[in-house]
This record gives sequence, C-alpha cells and structure tokens, in this order.
Amino acid sequence: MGLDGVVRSTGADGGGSGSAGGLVQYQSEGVAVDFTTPILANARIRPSDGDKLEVILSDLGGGRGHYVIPLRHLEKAVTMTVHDHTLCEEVLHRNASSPDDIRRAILTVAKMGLAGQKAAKHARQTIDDEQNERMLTTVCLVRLAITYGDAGAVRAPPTLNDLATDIARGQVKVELAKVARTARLSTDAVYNLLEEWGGIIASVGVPDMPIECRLRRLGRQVFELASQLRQWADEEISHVGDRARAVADHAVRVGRDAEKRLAALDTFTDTIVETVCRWKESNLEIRAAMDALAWTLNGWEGNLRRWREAAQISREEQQRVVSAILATRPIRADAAQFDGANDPAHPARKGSRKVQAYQDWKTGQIDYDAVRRLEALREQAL
Amino acid sequence: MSRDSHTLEEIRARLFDLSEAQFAELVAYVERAQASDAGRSFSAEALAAMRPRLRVARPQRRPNAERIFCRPFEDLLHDLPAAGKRPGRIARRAIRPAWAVLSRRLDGRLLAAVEREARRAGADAVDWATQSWSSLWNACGEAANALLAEADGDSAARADLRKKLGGADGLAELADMARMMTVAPHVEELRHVLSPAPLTALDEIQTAAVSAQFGALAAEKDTLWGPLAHAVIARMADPVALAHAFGGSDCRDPGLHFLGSAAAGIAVADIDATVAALGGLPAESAPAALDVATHGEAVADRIARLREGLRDRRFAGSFAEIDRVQRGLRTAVSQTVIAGADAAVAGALGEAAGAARAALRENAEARAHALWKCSRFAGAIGMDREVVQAARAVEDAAARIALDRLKALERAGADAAAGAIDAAADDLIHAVRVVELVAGSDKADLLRRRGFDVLDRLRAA
Repeated sequence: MGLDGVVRSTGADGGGSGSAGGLVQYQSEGVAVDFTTPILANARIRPSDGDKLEVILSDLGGGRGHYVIPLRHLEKAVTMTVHDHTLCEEVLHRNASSPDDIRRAILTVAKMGLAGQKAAKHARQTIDDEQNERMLTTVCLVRLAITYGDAGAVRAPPTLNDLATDIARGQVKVELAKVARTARLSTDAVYNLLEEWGGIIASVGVPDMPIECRLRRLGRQVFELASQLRQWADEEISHVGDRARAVADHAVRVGRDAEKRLAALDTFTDTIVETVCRWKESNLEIRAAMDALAWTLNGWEGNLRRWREAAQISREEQQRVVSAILATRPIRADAAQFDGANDPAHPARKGSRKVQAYQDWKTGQIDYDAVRRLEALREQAL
Repeated sequence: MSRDSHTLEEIRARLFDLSEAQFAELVAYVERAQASDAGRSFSAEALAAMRPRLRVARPQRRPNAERIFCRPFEDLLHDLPAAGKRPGRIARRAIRPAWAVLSRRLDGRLLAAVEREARRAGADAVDWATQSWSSLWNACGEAANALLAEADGDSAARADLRKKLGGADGLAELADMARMMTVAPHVEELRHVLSPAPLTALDEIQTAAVSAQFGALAAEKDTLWGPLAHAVIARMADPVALAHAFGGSDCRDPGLHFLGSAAAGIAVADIDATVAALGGLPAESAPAALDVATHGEAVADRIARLREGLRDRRFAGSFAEIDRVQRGLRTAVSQTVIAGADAAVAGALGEAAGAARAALRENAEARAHALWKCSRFAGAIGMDREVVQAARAVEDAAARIALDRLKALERAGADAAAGAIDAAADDLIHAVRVVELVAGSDKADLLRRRGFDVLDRLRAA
C-alpha cells in the first residue's frame, strides 16, 4: 500500500503526459537492450556526458539501487556472453543511443546467429516484416493522396505489385497529379516525398491498414498487459500484488502517452495535403513524433515477452517478473533514501527482496541454462 | 480413430497451457469416457498423455474400487520403464494385472458396495477413508496372500500366476502390494499429517505422528514396520534426509531408527535405478546427453550426501555400494555425453547444407551444452579429467575447423566466392557458440575476434 502510493505520486509529477518533460523522463530510463547474459537481462543503455554511453543495471541482487557503468568498461565489471560482447561493440561502433538505433544494432547481431539459429531466423523475419510495413505504409499513403485528388471516383487502389513494376508506377504518378498541383510540386517529387514519409512512419503505419504495424500493436498490447496484471494482482496475496498494480498503472500511463502520440502522427496522415504542402517542416515534426513514440514504448516489448513466458511457468516466476519490471522503472526519489531506519517488519518491506543467482553458484561462470532461456525469449513473435 | 489421435496430440502439446480448473474438467471428462466401451481405449491413452501434468497437479480423481485398492501405496508408484523390482517402490504398470487377478477372488457383494459408495460420494469426498474401504484393503491383502501361498506350493499355479502378472517382477510387486494392505489403516492415519509428496523433511509434529504409528505396530514389527517405512519414505523428496535424521545409533526411538535405516537402503536403490535408466539411454543422441547431464547433477548430489552421511556415521551402509552406483553414473556420462561429442561438433561444421545443417548444429550445440552441465558436477563423481579433456577436444575441433576454413579462403584470395565467405562466417559463429559453452566466453570471444579479423580482410579484398 505504501509502495503503491509512492509510485503513483512520482508518476503524477514526473510522467507528465505528452509534454517535453515526459519525454525526458522516458529518456533518462535509457534504452532496454536484449542482452543474453543473465545479469544484464534488465540492463539499459543511455547517453552520458558527451558522446559516451553508459549502462544502468537495476534489480541487482534484489536491491533497490541502480548501478551505472560506462559501456566501454562493462566487460571489466561483468563476465559477458560472446553475443553481448559483440552487441556492445556494435552499439559503440554505431554510437547508438536512441531506441531505433539500438534496435537496429540488436537485429544486426542477432542476424549473425550469436544468440542461436532460431533467434537469427526471427531477426531475419523481423527485418523482412519491417520492409513489408514500409512498402505497405507507402502504398496506403499513395492511396490516400489519390483519393484526395479524386474524391468522387472509387477506383481500385494501387497494390504492392503496382508499385513494384515501372509502368504501373508511372500510372500511379499520373494519378497523383492533383495533389501535386495543389502542393505546387512535380508528381515525381510528391511520390518521392510519400515514399520518404512511408519510410519514417513504417513502424506505425496509417489508420485502417490491413496489418497492424509494430508500434501501433505494441501500444495496444501495453493496455492488455495492464489489465492482465490487474487481474493477476487481485488473486495475489503477497506484496507483489501491489507491485503488479504499480506496473499496471505505469503501463496504462505509457499506453495513454503512446495513444496521444499515435493520434498526433495520424493527424498528419488525415491532413495529407497540408502535410505534403509544408513537407519541410512536417517532415521534421513527424520524425520528432516518431522518436517520442519509440521512447515512450521502449522496453515494453521485452516486458511483454517476459510476462507471457512467465504466465506459462509458475506463480513464483510471475512474481519475479513483476518485481523485475518494476525495478527497471526510472530512478526514483525514494530509492535514494536511507533504508536502515525503516522498520524491517513493516508489511511493505517484509520479504520484499528476493535474491537470485545470476551466475552458476558452483563455478562462478555464466549460467548457460539461464542464457538459453533468455535466448528462447526472443524467438517468439508478439 | 484419427480424430482421437489428433485429440491426443492436442492434449500432449497443450498439457501445461490449461488452467487448473480446465485441467480438472478435462480429467473428469476423460474419466467419464471410460464408462463406455468405445471410449475405454481413448480414455486410457489420454490419461497416459496427461500423466506428466497429473503427477504435478494431482486433481481429485473419481474414486472406484481399483483406485481405492491403490490408495495405500499410491506414493510408492513409479514409471521407470526398466524391468526389475525396486525395493520400496511399485511399478504403475503392475496395477492392472494385479487388480485383474485380485478382483476375481474378491467377494462380489463387497466390491459392489464399495463401487456404490464411491459413486455416491463423487470426486470431492475422497479425503477420508470409510469402513468399506478398510474391508476392501483387508480382503485384497488376504486374497493376494492366498494367491501367493497357492503359487508357493504348486509350480503349475505359480507359472500361471506369473503369466497373468507379467513375470517374476509381477509376483514381487503383488507381494509388496499385499504387505502395503496390511498397514493401510496406519498409512491412512498419516495421510493428512504428512504434507503431499515431495516432502523435504519431517517437522516435530510429523515426526511424533510417524513415531506413534510405528509404536502402534511394535508387536508385529518384523512384518509390518517395513511396509509402513516404505509408505513414509515414498512421501519424501529424498530418502537420504530421513537417513540423516534417524539413521544414527543415537536415535532413541526404535521405530524412527528403523525408518532411518530403511531410508538409507532405499536411497541407494533409488539412485541405482535412476543410474540404470540413464545407462540405458542411446549413445550419440543429443536429447539423451542432455538427459544424462540434467539428471546426473541431481544424482551426483544425492551420492555426495549419502557418502557424507556414511562418513559422519549418521547411518549404516556400505561405501562399496555407493562406489558401485557412482561408477554406473560415470559410465552413463562417458557413454552418452563424452563419447562422440567432438565428432558431433566437427560434423556440424562439415559440408552439409540447408535443413540438415541446421539440425546438425542444433545437435552439436546440445552436446556442448550437456558437456557444460556435466563439468559442473564432474568433480563430485571423480570425472574432472575426462570432462575437461572432452571439452578441450570439442574446443579444438570447433576452433580449428572454423579457422582453417577462413584461412583457406584467405589463401584463395580474390578467387574466394562471396557465398563461400558467408558460409565460413556462419561456421565461425556456430563454432564460437560451441566454444563458449565448453571453454567459456573469454576464449570464445578471442576466437570470434580472430575470425572477424580474417573476415574483414576477406570482405575488403
């Protein structure tokens, strides 16, 4: 109960939805990374001073604190799997600090097969899916632009195949003439612009697309996660129930923020002609909105996967996952408080820490059973 | 029929996806199917498919005469396929033939009464034994003893009974069942005092209750303490815990001391049976290697605790016996995990392509994983050297083949096809993952760096 209250209060003044302040909060949490070393399972990467990067380790040994280590020196602090070595190199090489850049680094390393053949296959599939999302989004934008120019006529929209062949592409460009006239651009320029636009918003798509693109889907799944967690918390008698409610509250907040940002992105699509007319500005605005959305939903893909996996295993595993998700929340004011003065028998404290072994306790080496479980986690589609 | 087999597949695949309530419903449905002639074989197969979850969830089953007969020894049941009578355990497969023989000798009125009462009570009321159940246990015990006595006197009757029970093991199982029938009321007394299996240790209240039941049977301790001890031991996660607690000569309570001594014997027999089962697994198979590695760790732990207890004189036993089972485990590890591991890894880096290569690689990784698991308990069973050597052989094979391939490409220079470079890169990654398991991530990362350097040069050329 005490815990719940604390979490809510920080959310109210910190998570200010939609504002620039809210985005800073999301950015301070860092980008969740799919490391396979058990101890790094909850690690996040964020930029530190200058162009350097640092890693935040939460939930270490069930404690409340966060450890911050420069990414460059991570290997001196932690014995890592080869996959994670390579991923760190790739991230440093790209100097990736945004969710999109780090996602690309993760996919590149996974594609090599360092996290196993199945994860490699899944990474290739993901890359293909994204390519499809990009194409389909462009097609939908082109269709919107054509129907704007010719509101009365109902004709078959261009298909993927139409855009792939040169002759049909020429036909599509002709049909874009009306929008081009309004925007005082050549049809070629309008087409290229729509293609660029489609590339930027590919992971969101446009409303009423035949497939639901990645981030739009994730925005919906976060709400589902919240309601599942609430239900779970109602049956949970331990203090973890409060934690689950706190995570659910947080998920709802994230979901609402994402909803607003999605709505803002869809406004550009709804007013397609204005967006095209002032593309120089709208281009930057769309990019910024996409970036904000990526930051808002950052990390929830992993949380969803972990929760789904735990749902199949055991109540204890579910408790562990809830605590781990809560621990990756941003560094809170109460986390810096001196803990020793608290009454250890206080109901909110009692048994609230669970230490888990990140390394094989017999040899001190990496526990490859745990590594395999983390690798298997990323093989399932969301 | 095909619909049924499809349903069975479905049950197997989604066994652990169902909620407790759904699973209980499914069990009830399948049991109802047993009533009709058409559904009987389906029901038996479905229950066999559901056994893994049944064993964990233990939903309330609808009682019938056969199930009530099994109640005194249900904790003793085991499913190991290997032949041979295990002391203190009863094979599940022995129930059917034994019940078929016994139920024919029972009073029809008694059976009918038990069935009627069971049907009326339903699945919810199986917690407490009734008078008619005790009568059934008595009757079953008497019938079994009569059968065994007849068989003892007459070789033709003996051969007939053996045939009906499926061999000499069946006779031994029937004798054990008869013994359990004689202590059934006492087992029933302990049923709800002891927590459900597996129990890690007995607390004071449980210890007192067990001691009281032994005390009640003190007059016939030569015949009845054994089966009672078997019932208590079967509840435990590891019988060694009982041996540690009560097996020592300082244990004042004669009943508990008997229990502790019996537990030490059964612990060795249990380990022996597990080791024999592991030894029977096929060589050159990745799932078998992982099985041996996973169970081997638990068995090695148990052996170590037995040895420790023996050394501290916590209970009586023989070191030679423990050495024997340890040798058995060593043989199982070297046959299934160590033998052929390097060949499997080298094979996965061979010329195969497509799906065949993917399968070979998965197999090789599983073998390396098994080797890693074994390295964690190799010291405890005196296999350090063998496992380290095997790990080194695997490491050498993987690193050598992957690097040789890259060097060959480098020698070929500009003639090297782009496809060949990609294939060599793929091989390198696989080799790195194998080396990571058997030799640690530092060595594997070194191999990756060396390989990537060559690849960079090749791709730049």
